[in-house]
Amino acid sequence: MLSFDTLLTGACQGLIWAFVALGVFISFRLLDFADLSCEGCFTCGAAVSGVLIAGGVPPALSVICAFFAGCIVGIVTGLLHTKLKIPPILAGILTMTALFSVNLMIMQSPNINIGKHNTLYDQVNGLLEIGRRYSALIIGVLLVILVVYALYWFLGTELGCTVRATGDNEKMCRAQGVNTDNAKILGLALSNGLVAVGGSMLCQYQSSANSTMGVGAIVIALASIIIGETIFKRARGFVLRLFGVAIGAVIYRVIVTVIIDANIMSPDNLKLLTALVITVALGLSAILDSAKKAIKHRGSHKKGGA
Amino acid sequence: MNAKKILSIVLALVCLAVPVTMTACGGSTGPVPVVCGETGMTEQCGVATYGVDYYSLGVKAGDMAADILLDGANVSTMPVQTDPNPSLYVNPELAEEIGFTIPQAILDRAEGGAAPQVTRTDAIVESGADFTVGILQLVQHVALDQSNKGFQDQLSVRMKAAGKTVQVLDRNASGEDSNNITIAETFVNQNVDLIYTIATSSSVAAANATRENKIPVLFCAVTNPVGEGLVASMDAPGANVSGVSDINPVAKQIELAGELLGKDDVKIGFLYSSGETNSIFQVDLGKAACEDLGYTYEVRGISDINDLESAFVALKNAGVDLVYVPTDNALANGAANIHTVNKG
Repeated sequence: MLSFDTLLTGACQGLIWAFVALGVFISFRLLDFADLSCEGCFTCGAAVSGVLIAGGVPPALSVICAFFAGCIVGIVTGLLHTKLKIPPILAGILTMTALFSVNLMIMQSPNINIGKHNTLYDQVNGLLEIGRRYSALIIGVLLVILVVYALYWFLGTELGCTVRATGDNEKMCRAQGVNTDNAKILGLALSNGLVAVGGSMLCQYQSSANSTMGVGAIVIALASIIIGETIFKRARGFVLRLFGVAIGAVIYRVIVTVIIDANIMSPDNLKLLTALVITVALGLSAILDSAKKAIKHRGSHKKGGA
Repeated sequence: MNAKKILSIVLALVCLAVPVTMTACGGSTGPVPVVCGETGMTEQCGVATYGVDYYSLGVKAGDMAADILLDGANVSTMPVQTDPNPSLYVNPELAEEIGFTIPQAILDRAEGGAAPQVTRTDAIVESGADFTVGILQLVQHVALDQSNKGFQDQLSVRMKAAGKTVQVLDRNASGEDSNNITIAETFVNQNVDLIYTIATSSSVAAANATRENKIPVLFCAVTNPVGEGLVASMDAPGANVSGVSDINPVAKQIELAGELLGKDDVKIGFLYSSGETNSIFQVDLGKAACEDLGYTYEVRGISDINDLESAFVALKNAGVDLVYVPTDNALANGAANIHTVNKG
């Protein structure tokens, strides 16, 4: 059942979802802002990329355009929250709702098929001639490393630190003279930019964009973050935390691919099994922890008794 | 009581008053007859239609698959098929429920019952088969399930007749777009002999996943395969993709609407899903048919099934004589809901 190809397929897609997970990590974990605009933003990135590639723009440039489109989405959510004082969840929902129409406007149709145009994956494959899937793996790994280190660098600068500090303790931060509104807008722009990059990469990977492709994106991103955090629980250092999130996304997609491949009982069980496997993966760590504690406790008790 | 509280109460009252007056002034809010794009939906919410039978479409696709696997037919030269003789289907029980009388002439013309089903054989096996076929279905819903069943039934019959066996890998993306490409790639990894895709986005995913190794892809339940870029033209697909289109005879259905109402100055309301190309495509065909027949029309789009009630009421308030509901995934799933909303 578990073939190398299955793992490869899961990994290639996981590396795409890693951008989304990293983006959501910034808003959800660093800024402590539950930003639901992610689903619309993901489609927006795909739509922008799809339209540009269909129009003959170089695929790499289309990814950058998608990033900036995502940034605009983040800025809108940020302005709704900071200037109009709309609560985070509602601000995200408003942006997401509006994006459905905006995405249709961008694509001029509910879906675009760019199968006849060269994407980033086709270009790299044309250069290396190692097959589309391996090219996807190489692009994915390189880009994820690049993005993780770029984030690590940026969040370590004075400006980046204000974003992290705002999420940690907004009142204290404001007392230090930081404009927390701007820090939030900046963080959201960066977060949504990355989510849109994820959409852009998936659009190129599957050579099509679709108005409903963002459905479930927030769930996938959050699951990826939690899986990454659970596995990298003992990791020290911020850069490892970021890598943990990216690897969490890969693990999530590999799990889904394996479940699809195994097809236990009926195809209708896909979502139930996905939920079950992830519950086990997450719960396992808690069970192991409590078991370890119990053993430790017994050990110390014996020592005390001696 | 302070000014803020008073203001909020006034605001709440205004918010309440607006829809109430709108409903009161909106004229007729009683049920209107509905014509749907396909039979399955008509059973739940429509009075009559010319129906495409999804089971028969699946059977057609099963025949194409057998031609490719058994006779080595070339998929790039197989024309895209459609339902040539859609049958008239009426639903007098539902018409009676909403107080609408179907003209006797139409009742007399209707053929009763669904198309006969193929008797499935045991040529579909779990392992060690001569051929492997992957099925990629977008989501669980009645019409798509029928195209899946029809395909498997007919494929089994043809395989049995040729003395061969086939293994079917039946996968469902469960409505999540990102699973389409995952499933399509697993089929490519397993190097299946043929991929059968049901619904548009699944078909596009499979078509793009097989660009390198050219595994034949047969689609079903795709309304506009040329517009989606799946085939070069209906007669000569040109690549490794062909299949069966579920385009319903929209013009014929609009004509039927006029016949049902029995008058000339007909105003038709179109309900559609703005997120589905096939839905827009059918409504465009419908609008063209209306213009040909000299009917007027009103169009309301929904972005998801939760907008259904508002859109339907808006159409009624616009004074339409009949609502046309095209075949798309969201509306097909909400067919029962349409009837509830219609009854009021």
